[in-house]
Amino acid sequence: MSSDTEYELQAFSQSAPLTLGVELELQIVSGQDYNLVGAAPDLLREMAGRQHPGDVKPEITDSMIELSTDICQDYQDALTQLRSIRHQLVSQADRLGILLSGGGTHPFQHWGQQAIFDAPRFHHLSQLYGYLAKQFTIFGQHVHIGCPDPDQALWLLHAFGRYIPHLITLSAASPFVQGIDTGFQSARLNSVFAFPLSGRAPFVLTWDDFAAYYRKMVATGVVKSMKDFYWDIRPKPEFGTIELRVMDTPLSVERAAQIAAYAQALARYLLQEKPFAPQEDDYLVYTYNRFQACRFGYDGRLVVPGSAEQRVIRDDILRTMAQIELHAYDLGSTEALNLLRTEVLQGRNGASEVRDAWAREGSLEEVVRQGCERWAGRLS
Amino acid sequence: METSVFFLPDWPPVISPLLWIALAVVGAALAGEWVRHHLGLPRITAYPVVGMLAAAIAGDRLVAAHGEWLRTGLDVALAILLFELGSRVDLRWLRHNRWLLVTSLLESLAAFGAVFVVSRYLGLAMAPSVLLAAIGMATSPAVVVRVVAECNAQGQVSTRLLVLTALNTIYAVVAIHLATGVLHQRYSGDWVLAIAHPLYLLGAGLVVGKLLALAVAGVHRWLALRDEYASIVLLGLVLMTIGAIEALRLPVTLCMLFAGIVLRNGERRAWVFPRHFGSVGSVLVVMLFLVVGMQIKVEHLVTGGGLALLLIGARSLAKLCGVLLLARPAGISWRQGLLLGLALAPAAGPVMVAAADLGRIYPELQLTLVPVAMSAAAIMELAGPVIVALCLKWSGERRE
Repeated sequence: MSSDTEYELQAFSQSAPLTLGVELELQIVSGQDYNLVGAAPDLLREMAGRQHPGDVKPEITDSMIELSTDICQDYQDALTQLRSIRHQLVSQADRLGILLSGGGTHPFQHWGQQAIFDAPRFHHLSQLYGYLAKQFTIFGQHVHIGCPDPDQALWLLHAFGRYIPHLITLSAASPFVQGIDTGFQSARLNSVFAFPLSGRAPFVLTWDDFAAYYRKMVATGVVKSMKDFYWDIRPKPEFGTIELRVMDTPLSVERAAQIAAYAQALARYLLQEKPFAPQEDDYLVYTYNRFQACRFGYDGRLVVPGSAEQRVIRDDILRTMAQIELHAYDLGSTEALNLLRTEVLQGRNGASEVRDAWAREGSLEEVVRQGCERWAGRLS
Repeated sequence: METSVFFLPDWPPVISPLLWIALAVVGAALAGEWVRHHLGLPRITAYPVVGMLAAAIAGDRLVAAHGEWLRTGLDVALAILLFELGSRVDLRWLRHNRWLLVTSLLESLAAFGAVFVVSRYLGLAMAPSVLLAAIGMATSPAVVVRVVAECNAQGQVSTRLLVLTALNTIYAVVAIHLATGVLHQRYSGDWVLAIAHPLYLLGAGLVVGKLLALAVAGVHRWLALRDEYASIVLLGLVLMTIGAIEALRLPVTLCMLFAGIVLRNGERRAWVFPRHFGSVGSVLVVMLFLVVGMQIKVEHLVTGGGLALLLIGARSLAKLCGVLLLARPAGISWRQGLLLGLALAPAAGPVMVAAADLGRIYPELQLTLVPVAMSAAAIMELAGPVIVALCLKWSGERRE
């Protein structure tokens, strides 16, 4: 069990600053009853050898699959790659009579019915976490942002903490869990919080300190590799990136690319303008802000770290969008920012779209079907 | 003397056939649970066996005395099953995956060819050979639907099994009626009759199916068919349809399959067959398999058994080859292709009934066709559910 423990933290690879990588965990849905279906092995078999950028990998349960882009330079690059992988995946799913969908949770699946994907790591996780592993049938978007060196990566990681509610709100797409409207916009994150090593990274700003922390954690036997940390943001030394992990998988690849572009512009703003210095005390309000975003989305109230000032999340996002506008322009993602801003002004995100569909159709199966059509790009 | 005890039963008491049937039902249900617990097989594998034993013990009067209402009950059970099966056919999938459609045609044609060649080789005349071959195309919808439902199976093998079964049942019914048309022509020399008959069956079948689908969709729109009480509405609609089908002299098989397909594909909205309605059907299914078992006589397994075994073997091999040949282009692994091909083996009970009917209409066939068909039916009714259950188990798609 401990044979694969990584005792030393990997060296932090070099990566071009502000490059992007997007990972999306997808729902595999049965064309018969619109429930999740364990078709990942079928889909992976049919995807093998097909030409597309990036990669497609299994996830912990059979009804999930993860796609990832190669390193992307900018928004357009990410969008093109995502569309190309999506196209290939959807055409294989069509052949298999199955459907694919975005969204952070499947609205009515029962976690007890999930099967663990047949691979040693997943069986180990299932053994360790018991039902939590099956409850982990949730679907997230991860965005990697390239960092020139490890210390800057840690600085950026902690500076980003303040904007976590933005990323949650913009991507939130999991209002329903097991057939019930939870009242949350991102109920998915509630499942993540159940894990003992979830939450925030320790407040260290140099790679040496971080390596020391890592060694101590490995010595306790609690973790065996960086993969065991389920933090909202974590450094990814082998890629030379920080990985933002709080987002639900949006309902479309377009939205996923826009959110990646928002994160990229935000990173550029933070690294170049250094508008504030991150501190441990920023985390005093961290979980409160995160809860507000998960529960209320745009209408949530966050407390600006280092002050007692409360802001409606919608206003804070709009204010930030104004601050990063020039950076977005320089990165070629003005279009992405404008599209997102429209959504914010209309108070729309994945969660509100799912709820609208439920109110309109009165059938969760139909909600799922429309979600799948949406993901396939057949429904605007 | 006798008047004093007029209220007491005769001694020994007379056990009515109804009581025998009831005993068989209880026995079948218990045997089903036993099979499930100790052998890990679906319950329905036990029902035909118990039916056969009950009939062997109680004798012929069992089915004969209650033939009328049993037959109605069976029609309803079968109608619900076929309706459900039809609603599992996603025509969009067939459009996206043409190879699946080609697989379906290939495996059906191969089965037709295999059965035809073997029949001819064994000296059967042309007409009964064609008829037997047409019957041989169909996989038993009842066995497939029930085993898949009971295993709660989901995946490529089980979904394709349902779709291929629905399609080859349609081909078989059409082919049987075309063959009947040929027989009409041969036996009465009337070409117009021969052509008009199958056309009427298909056209009217589609219309009745469409009407039922419209009615169900209409009810569904303002009454969510989610709870038990709504399934009585569905049951009523199905009964009405059966009545109409009988009045119009149409095949139940075709009409109910068409109804399911139209319902599923008629509109874009998600349609999921109501679970509760499935369970109404599943109670009737105990009866269905039991009665099918009661019609099996041990001598059926023996007389014409050799020819029947050869037929079954050739047919199963043909279906397996048809599926395996196109497994990769159709998007399944070799292993899945193997299991899917094997799972298509169960022969269709309702089509066997059609064979018996034809035997009655054309007594010439009584001696050649009927014993072989009944024998093959008997063997496959007993073995079919076990084969499908094992295939689903090995495919890893069972979820209990």
